[in-house]
Amino acid sequence: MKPVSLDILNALVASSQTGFGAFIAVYLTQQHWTQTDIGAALSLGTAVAMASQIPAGALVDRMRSKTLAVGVGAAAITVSALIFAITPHRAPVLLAEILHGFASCLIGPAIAALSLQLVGQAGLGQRLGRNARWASIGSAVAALALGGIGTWLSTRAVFYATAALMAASLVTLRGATAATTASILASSGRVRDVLDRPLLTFAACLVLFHLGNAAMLPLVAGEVTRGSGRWATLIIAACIVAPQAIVAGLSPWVGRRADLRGRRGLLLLGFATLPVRGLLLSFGTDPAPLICVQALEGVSAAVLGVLVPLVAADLARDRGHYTLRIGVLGLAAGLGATVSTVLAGAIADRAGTEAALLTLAAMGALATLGLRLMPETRVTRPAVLANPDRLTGASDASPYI
Amino acid sequence: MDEDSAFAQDQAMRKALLLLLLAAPAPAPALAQVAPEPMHRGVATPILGHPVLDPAGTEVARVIDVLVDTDGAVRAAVLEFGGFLGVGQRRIAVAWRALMFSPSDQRITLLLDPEQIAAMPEYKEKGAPIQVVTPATPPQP
Repeated sequence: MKPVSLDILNALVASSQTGFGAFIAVYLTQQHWTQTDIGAALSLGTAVAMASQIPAGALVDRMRSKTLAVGVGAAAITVSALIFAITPHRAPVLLAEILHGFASCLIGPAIAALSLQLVGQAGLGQRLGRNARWASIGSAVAALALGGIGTWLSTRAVFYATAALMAASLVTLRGATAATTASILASSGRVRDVLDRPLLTFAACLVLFHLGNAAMLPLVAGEVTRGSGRWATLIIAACIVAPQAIVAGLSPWVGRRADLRGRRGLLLLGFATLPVRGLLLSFGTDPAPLICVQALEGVSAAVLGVLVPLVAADLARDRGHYTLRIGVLGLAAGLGATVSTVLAGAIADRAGTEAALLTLAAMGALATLGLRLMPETRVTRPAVLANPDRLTGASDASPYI
Repeated sequence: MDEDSAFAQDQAMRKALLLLLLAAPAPAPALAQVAPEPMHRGVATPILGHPVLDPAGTEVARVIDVLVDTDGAVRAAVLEFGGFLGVGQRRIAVAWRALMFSPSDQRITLLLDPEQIAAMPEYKEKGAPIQVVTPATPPQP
């Protein structure tokens, strides 16, 4: 696999995933589904995605070909999107939700493992930065393009487009990657050792971070819809796309910096923007400041997008079970995000949006404080230090161009 | 067009036959009326997911639920306003009489000011009493 193919793979997978989640509720409403049934289908998807994180991570560890793992995930999501488009009825939709929930947990870790195979551990930060850039470009373009298709064509067409994007990603997998037998990708180490202290600390911080993060935009967006009339949709669209633009610009820097200077400072930066954002949003939702504050979400997203799989790789060094560790961290993020919506909704009902935003900010502050218990996980290797070209980060010197 | 209507007729015939077949062996001496009541297209329409327009004809919301009282009489509709990619929608309950139905083109028009909608709390399935927006003046026929 060529580095450029991996760029395209990241963009296509992210664009397809953007389309998938966002349109299901609207689409099923148009298909005369009741809100109860829609809620049940979506909850099933969430539950499966949560339950699959760890098994899917373990499965990717065991599969010799990470390309095959990505391929199986992409094929399953394609089928799932086609089911939605063709037969939006109860049983098929539930099946599609299960398929999609599991496949999403498979494809993320599989792409990280594929990246590791491509560049090795020394260049992984840079490569993950590049992954995050292309994923956010794909996701931002998809948000606008699929939003347009949904508005002017039909919501069903969105699912055909989603299926086409995912099917196209299969093309990038042609040409096998040399199956390195790096110990980090092995599944031979003891599973018991996976849940060590640094991983559990990081997982706890991620639960808190997503507890504060996930409900923040939806909470504010509801206020925007209420207060900004005709412009509301455009403002919300800007709030979704602006952070993606920041991620696209910032991620490669995050990756280089992580390789050069370590993970801890970046993690603190990424986490600390969350309480700041919550605090600023609690002052009000005028469109221009709102979009600027939302752009800060891009800083967190760039940092987490690169550093979650990178720290997992640090912890898996010489011990294996790389994608199982990613699965553990993915489960932590999912748990936090799921509880976030419930928590924020309950507080907003009783004490108002402002109180809910301040609570979310407090969760972010706790997450940032928790990071202080997290050790620096970067291991400096003399072999890498001896070759300064690889560390300068200039893109023309990067090993994978 | 002709093919379409022929197809539709064919489908209707099949359905009727199927209904007859299903109904025939059923022993129903007490209930003499088993024949289905025909309802022409356009007379009635499914409403979940139906777009709702403002008086200027712009789509502003979708019907996502209908609230009936204990007698089964329709009292209010739950509409979903706004949002982008599933983020930022608001659900508001509006009085049934705030909706105007035009049978000719199956349009549903909302006879409420945006300000009235903005002032409403969100509709929740459980908990506090449901707040329903009502039109200031009864709609003109």
